[in-house]
Amino acid sequence: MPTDKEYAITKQKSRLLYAKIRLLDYNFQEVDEWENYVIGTPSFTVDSSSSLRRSANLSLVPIDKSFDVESGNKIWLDKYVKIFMGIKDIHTNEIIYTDMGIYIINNPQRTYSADNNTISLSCIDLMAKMTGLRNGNLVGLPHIIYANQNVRLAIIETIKLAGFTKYIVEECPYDVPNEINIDVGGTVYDILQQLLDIYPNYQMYFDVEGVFHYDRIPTGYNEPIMVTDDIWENVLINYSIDYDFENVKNVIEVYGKTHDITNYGLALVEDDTYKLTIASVNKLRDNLKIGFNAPSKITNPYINLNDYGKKALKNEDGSFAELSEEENMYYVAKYLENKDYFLFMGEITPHAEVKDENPDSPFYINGSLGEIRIVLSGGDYDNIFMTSLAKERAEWELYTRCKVKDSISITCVPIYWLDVNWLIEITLPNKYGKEQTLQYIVKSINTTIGANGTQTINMMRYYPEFEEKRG
Amino acid sequence: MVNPKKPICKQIAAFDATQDHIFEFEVISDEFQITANQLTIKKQEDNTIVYNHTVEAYPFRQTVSANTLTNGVYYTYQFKVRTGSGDNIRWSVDSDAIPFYCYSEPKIEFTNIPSSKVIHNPSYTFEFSYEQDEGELFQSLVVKLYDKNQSLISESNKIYYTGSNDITYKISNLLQEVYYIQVEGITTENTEFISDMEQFSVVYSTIDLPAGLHVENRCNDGYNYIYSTIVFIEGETSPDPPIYIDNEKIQLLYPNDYVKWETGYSILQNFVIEIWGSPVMIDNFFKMWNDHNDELSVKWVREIPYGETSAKDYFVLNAKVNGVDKVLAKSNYIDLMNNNTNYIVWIKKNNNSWELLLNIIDTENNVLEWNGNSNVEYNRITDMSWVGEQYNNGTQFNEQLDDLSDMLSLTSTQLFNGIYEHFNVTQDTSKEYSKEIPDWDSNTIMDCDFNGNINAGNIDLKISQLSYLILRRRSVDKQNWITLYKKEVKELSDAFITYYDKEIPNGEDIIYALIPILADGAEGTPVTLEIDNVKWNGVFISTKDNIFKLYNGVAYGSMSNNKQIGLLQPLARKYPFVIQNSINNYISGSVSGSLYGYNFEETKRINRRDVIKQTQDLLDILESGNAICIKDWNGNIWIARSSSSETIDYNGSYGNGITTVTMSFVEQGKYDNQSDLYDNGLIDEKE
Repeated sequence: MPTDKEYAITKQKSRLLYAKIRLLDYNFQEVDEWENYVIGTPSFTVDSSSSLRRSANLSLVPIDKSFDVESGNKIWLDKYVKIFMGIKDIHTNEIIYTDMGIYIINNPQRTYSADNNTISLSCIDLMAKMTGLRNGNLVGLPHIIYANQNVRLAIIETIKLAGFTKYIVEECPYDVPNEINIDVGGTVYDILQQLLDIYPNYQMYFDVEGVFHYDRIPTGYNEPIMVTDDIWENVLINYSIDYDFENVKNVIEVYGKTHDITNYGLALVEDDTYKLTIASVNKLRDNLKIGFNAPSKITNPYINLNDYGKKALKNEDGSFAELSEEENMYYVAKYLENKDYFLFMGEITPHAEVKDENPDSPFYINGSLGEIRIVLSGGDYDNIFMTSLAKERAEWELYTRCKVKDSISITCVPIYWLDVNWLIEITLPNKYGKEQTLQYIVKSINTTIGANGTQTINMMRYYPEFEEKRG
Repeated sequence: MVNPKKPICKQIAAFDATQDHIFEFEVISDEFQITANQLTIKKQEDNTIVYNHTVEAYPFRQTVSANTLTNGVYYTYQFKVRTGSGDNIRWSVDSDAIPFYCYSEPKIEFTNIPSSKVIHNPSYTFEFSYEQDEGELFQSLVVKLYDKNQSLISESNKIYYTGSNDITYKISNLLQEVYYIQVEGITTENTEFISDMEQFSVVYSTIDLPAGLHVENRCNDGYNYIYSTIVFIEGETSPDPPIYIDNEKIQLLYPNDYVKWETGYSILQNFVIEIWGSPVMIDNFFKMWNDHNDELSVKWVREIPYGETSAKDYFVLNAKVNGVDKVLAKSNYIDLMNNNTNYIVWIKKNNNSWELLLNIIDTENNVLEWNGNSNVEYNRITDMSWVGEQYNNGTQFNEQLDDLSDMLSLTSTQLFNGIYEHFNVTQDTSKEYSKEIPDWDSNTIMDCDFNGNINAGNIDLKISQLSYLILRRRSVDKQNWITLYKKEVKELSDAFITYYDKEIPNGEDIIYALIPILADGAEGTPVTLEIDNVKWNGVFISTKDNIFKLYNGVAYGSMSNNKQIGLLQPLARKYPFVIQNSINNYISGSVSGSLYGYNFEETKRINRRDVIKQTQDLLDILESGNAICIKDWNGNIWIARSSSSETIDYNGSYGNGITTVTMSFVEQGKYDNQSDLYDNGLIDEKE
């Protein structure tokens, strides 16, 4: 969020641009600051769809030998750069700087000729320190994250392997479902990616302050509107809207990975309990996965396996499982010793289907479009191991495939403090048509700095009236 | 009714959990009337909620009481807000979580300011120590110096953590005034900290430079010629150390007592010697000699003047030339001197004319009362007569006008048999006799005031006490000094410095300062010299070591003030956005002019060979990429570099013996900026 000064300076009618770079060591300790060494047209990109969210390119004029690319000097593998762009306030002469993020210096290039002497820096996201691009390769033996571990704690421990101690890591609704085993040669990022895949519509990234985030991807719902026409009226240069009909889907069907069940039994219904006899099971142990056919639905059900005692059949959040009304459905459950209940994992192949059933939506299934279906399985979808997860994923897919396709790209005078996943509101000029004030979510930002530099913002349409009904 | 939008929380710096802390949030939309807010604080380690509290109030903040949280712990905080009341309550979702640390308040304090708060040096390395209980490091800090009114004078660059919490910072050029000093900084978790504002005074004994700085504005040559006349004449004494009276006079009472100067000067021509002293015994008391043992000496004589009956005193100037004694001059007679007499003796040589004057400044007759006051001193001549007293009868004096040129180049001087207050030798023979003690001027050869030292040069230092001489310059209407030249002083000749200052615009009022740096690094008091309205007669191109004057038809091409400016044209604005890259802002242009050769200014004749050599030298300099300074009589001055190939035109009217050079240039800096001058190689001093 911008400061009041940053917000006000964005509307100033002229801009005197300044650049400032803070050099940080690997402990994020400031070791130097350069002002006004940046030349050319620096550029910045922010892409919400990538875990390596931020990148920048800039050129410097080396003024002394401390700029030589070697150990102990300013530009070396062991340094981060924190970049600020500034605009001088014409009334106070104060330079209002905006933090453009912390980056790893990657592959600097020295250009030296009769009429040129510059160092070009390719600056990449801090995530690169975990992907193996700079660091992140795991040492020694295969790295294991055990099943049922708390995802949040697993993520925190993992990023600490790469030296990151500042984080915002939300609780994941699920624990680690299966053991994560990263072979020798794997990276910290490989672990994080598998942890990220446990639950859909979560993201991980570093913010401009260098804080690692694992949190839910904002949908716009309940989000504050960060930029309005108060700014856009001053900076909007042009826009283009892509109407991508080809990829619009309003019925999503998701199939997860089919469970490989070795312990199976036919259940008998005794009051509120499914009674099971499975010869291959000789004791209740942690993570014991079983399959069973439920003759009929039981409300608030229990399972009594081999007379080891009644154990509740519950969801991840501790509530009782809600079974289908359909008879003889094949379900899968897993015993969790620390919680002393069976975790309900749904059908043997986790499956869910969601549709755009909002009559106000332009993609409403009962509207003129009818149903446009997509079936999703395999690949990443094999990470789905529970029906509830399949449903979550299907809803997320509907969100992205049904509405994202109404997207817009605008070009404007750069707003340095703008960030992705922000909800904005803009009135798009339309001289011969209808001018509407619409809401969008910022998905990516490309900024070039310099006298003629502009900012290109890609956004997807947000329909507040639909989302708020969906809740 | 819809839910209120989620509030926004900002990053916060670490704070001390033992103090109350206010958490704030913002709500962008004014669509909702916020009736309550709920603050949730979680411990990052296990995500447990350590604080959860709802405030039924409008203000967008909550105060968390002291000791609710714990220092050294990593937390997050979130707000959510409520609208409506009664049955119409709606809550927003939680804001994005913001991480923060609680840390005890960092402390920083100076550790080496003397308890007296007095610093006896114009330079001082301040030491200070940073401390934070949980080990949070400082990110950077800045030292600020304030004057006695607590107005900021200067501040350091950022000082970064380099592995130690004990930091030092040296401040130089402190004047003898009252100052305040303070350190401000920021920790790694963005907590700002500040030290107490410490007062201190600076008191030190200054080393005054005499008026040993001279500047000639050589307007036709395009530079100010600056030279120093600092003269070191170190003496030696017996006894050593010498005996001073009230640090104003030297006492040489006994036969082996003397003060002698044998280095740092040479008396070549005519001169005037003045001695302010008090007599001891009737005998020689002063001599000067050269390497051939030719000698001048002055002797006190008491006799009965020719044709008179009572004794009088006078001085006589003797010489020994090539082993032959001569009497050069005899002073006027005066009443008898005694131990209470203060005299001035004046010796003047003007070619073969010698003059010797003796004047009593003040005296008091001797009194000897066996049971009362007595002003007679043991072992010193009195004006009292005694039984059987006899003096020689004086004879008529005939001056010697022999050629005494052989005995010049006097290089040694000795005073003895007296008490001396001042000694001066000047080559200004037009000077009239005066009792006034003279100041050092450009004609002075020796001068010793015996004020606690026996240096007869124009600086009260020994060469070994001085390490550097620094020459600085600034414009009268600006405060920033440019250090032009720094010379290490190891021997007597090092004290003479010369400098050609070329990077000054026409019409500028300039102050130069020559600053002595003592062996311990302390700065002495500078001698300053103001030169008003510097003039340049012509257009000059100069480098650090060369200067070229352009003649005849000097012309500038169009000058461009270069900036990178872009215009962006938003749809809804009538006028465009003007975007300017502030880094680029410089002049570019071209200049052409004729070269007449190095010697033209002096000879006013064109020497073709000289012209060609000068032209080639200029082209070599431009080709080498060295920076140049271009200045003219209009006050234009540019620190620049050549930006394209130069062209040379030969003037056929002069048999192709005159060249006209045309060059394009691009500005590289400002003449009054130390870094610009240094970075462009126009001066050798970085700071």
